[in-house]
Amino acid sequence: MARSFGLMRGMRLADARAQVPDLLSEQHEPQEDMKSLLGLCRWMERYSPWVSPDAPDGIFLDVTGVPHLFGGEEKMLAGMQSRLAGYGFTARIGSGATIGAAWALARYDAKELKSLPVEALRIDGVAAQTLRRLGLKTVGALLAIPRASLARRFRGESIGENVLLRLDEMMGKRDEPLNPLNPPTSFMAHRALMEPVIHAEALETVLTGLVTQLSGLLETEARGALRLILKLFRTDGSRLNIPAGFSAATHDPRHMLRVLKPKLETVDAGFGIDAMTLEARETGSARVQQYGFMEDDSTLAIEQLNDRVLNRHEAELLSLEEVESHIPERAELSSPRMRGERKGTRRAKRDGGGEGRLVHMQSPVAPHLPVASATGPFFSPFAGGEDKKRRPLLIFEAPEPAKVIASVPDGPPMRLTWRRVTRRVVKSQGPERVAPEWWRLGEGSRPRDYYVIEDEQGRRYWLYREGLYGETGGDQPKWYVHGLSA
Amino acid sequence: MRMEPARGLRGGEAFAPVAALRQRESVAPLIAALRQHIARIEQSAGQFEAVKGRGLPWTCGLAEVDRHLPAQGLMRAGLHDVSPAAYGDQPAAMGFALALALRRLTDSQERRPLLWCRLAAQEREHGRLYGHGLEGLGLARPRFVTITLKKPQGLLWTMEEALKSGALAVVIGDADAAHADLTVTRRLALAAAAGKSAGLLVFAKADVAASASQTRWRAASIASLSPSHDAAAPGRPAWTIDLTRARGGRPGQWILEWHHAHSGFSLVPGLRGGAVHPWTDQAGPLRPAPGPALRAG
Repeated sequence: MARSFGLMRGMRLADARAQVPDLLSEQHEPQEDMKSLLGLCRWMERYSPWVSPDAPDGIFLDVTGVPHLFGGEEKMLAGMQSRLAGYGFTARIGSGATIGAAWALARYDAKELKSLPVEALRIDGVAAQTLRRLGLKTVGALLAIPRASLARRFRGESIGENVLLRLDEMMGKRDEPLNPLNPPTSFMAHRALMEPVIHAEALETVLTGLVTQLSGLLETEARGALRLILKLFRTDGSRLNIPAGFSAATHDPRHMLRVLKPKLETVDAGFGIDAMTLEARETGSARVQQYGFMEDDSTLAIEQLNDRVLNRHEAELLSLEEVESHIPERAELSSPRMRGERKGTRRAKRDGGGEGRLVHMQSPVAPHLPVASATGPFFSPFAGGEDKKRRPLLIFEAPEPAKVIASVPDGPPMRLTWRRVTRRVVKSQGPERVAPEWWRLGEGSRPRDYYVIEDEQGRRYWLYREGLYGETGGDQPKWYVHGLSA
Repeated sequence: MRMEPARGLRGGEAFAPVAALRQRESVAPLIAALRQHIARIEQSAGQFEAVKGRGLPWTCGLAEVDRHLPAQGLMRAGLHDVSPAAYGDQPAAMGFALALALRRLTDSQERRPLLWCRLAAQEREHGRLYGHGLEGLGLARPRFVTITLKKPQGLLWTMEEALKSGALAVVIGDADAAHADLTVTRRLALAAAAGKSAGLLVFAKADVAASASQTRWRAASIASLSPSHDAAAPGRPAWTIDLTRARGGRPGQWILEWHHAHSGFSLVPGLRGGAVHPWTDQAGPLRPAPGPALRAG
């Protein structure tokens, strides 16, 4: 079109202005152009997930199996054109059986492939000129030439020089795959709405339909979704992504709906949403729907609860696991209640390579969730409480410093000042010596003497003295409150 | 329907009391029906229904305490409150809440786990739960799940979801009076009934707002009884427990000790009048007993 005004690529702006006095000019910003091209690509995903940009000004779409959703190919293309025009883009749309054909038909007008000029083959200018000089002006003429001579004559490093290759690609003899922007998933449900929707209830209805469809797809393949993405396409061309994750692969529509519905409530629909896609980005094999005979539905219910809370508040259900370590704060690890096969022992990865080993208290019946035996499931195995080391109900993340007065330097505490309150110690038990782990001596930690004390009001504290009196070359020992007992 | 004394009746009307007596025979079923009707209105039908094999009643195991609870003990699928008597009694309140929860779990048919929802601020203030200490109170690790949330609203939402899901036997949650008001606690109570789980709220401060829970307890620490082998050592956890409100029951006060081995309470001999502590002979901050609720032995 610019050529009709007499403008050519590479002309100077002054010359161009001379040709067309009222020419509007703008700075060329290739990055911004690329960004808006990508944005347009994402918008085009409403038609099909196989979208790829063709820099600098084209977009490829694989619409296999899509046109019927839009009422036929012509209607779809016409709809696309009008919507793009509505956004201010003049688009030329070409559709063909191959990428090459589509590219050509978009840029050059022709009734059929044979009458396309040779430039439509996506070859570079030199090769095109050579072909013209040889008298081969259309694709049809090229097709008449024996392949061997074409291959011999047009051979080169870059694909633009390989005329035969490009010809084969256009004709479909050679596969040319489309590299989509997003890796498409086979588990996807899509709804295009006739009218834009703003209200949450209507969105929920559409979501219900999508979830049902997707879970059906997953179930037939015996897969479950681990990560879902719900894409909402607004009428103004923007797109919203709502992610959701699950701790265990699931294809239960109710569970998916329960997790997605709260997220939909915070959605800003703008001027309306007119298409929704639900994709399962990550899938896993769905678990066999058979529980061990001691288990019941509560296992599944806990996992689903975990998913709901995780997706809403990003906090997950943790169980406290025992770690073999003398140091009290290292003797425990809180870990998420994961499903799946658990290994017998794991190395604890705390403190950059901790030495504790995780001991799972599990029964072999149900490896993924411990099952309680029928007798006294909730009671700890330590019946003789007095023998076991006393531990507090609550422990501080960082032990709090305290001031303690004892009758004799190595004796039990008599008076405790902690958090600015002085308490008189009435009862105490200890000391329990906790020596630093000798394999970590490099840290320079000192031995601790733990005491369980009770003050006059009956409140119990668990505190320790770090370091010993009379240590040569060391500081005075310090006291810390490490925990509180019921 | 009392029988009026026959005043000024002539001989012929002496039969009126007899007629009234005959009517009284049909009174008992009428009263039972009225009670059920009221219970249904109050939606606390669990108190008056017979235990249809749904599980053992949730009691404290002590006659003196259970006398004050409604007929079937604490409501198995309901909401209950524990709050501390003072700021420093928070660990005592948490310990008592756990003890109540463990009483609930003594039912061997109940195999669902226990969830404790903690507030991040509470964890910084009083510490986080320590598994070894929980074992010391009698809770086994495999059936304990915990979650820490940053905001009180999030915690209450999580509690509601956990109760509704029916996946857990007991859900304990840290609450504060500002957020756990009447509406919220009513929702939690309904969620607990729906999921057949018990909810326990542990309040952070002593002053508590109105709440729709079935029973409200207040716990305070008290000096413990030293074990026989070591006179200077602290003994089993002991608390002063105040049942401030019980729907269908009476309030009361006791001093209770927790035995983790058999998950039960034992009653400490009560105090009267001068409130002298039985073990340490100190005059402690104990309230004088209001009479028959506390009895020696």
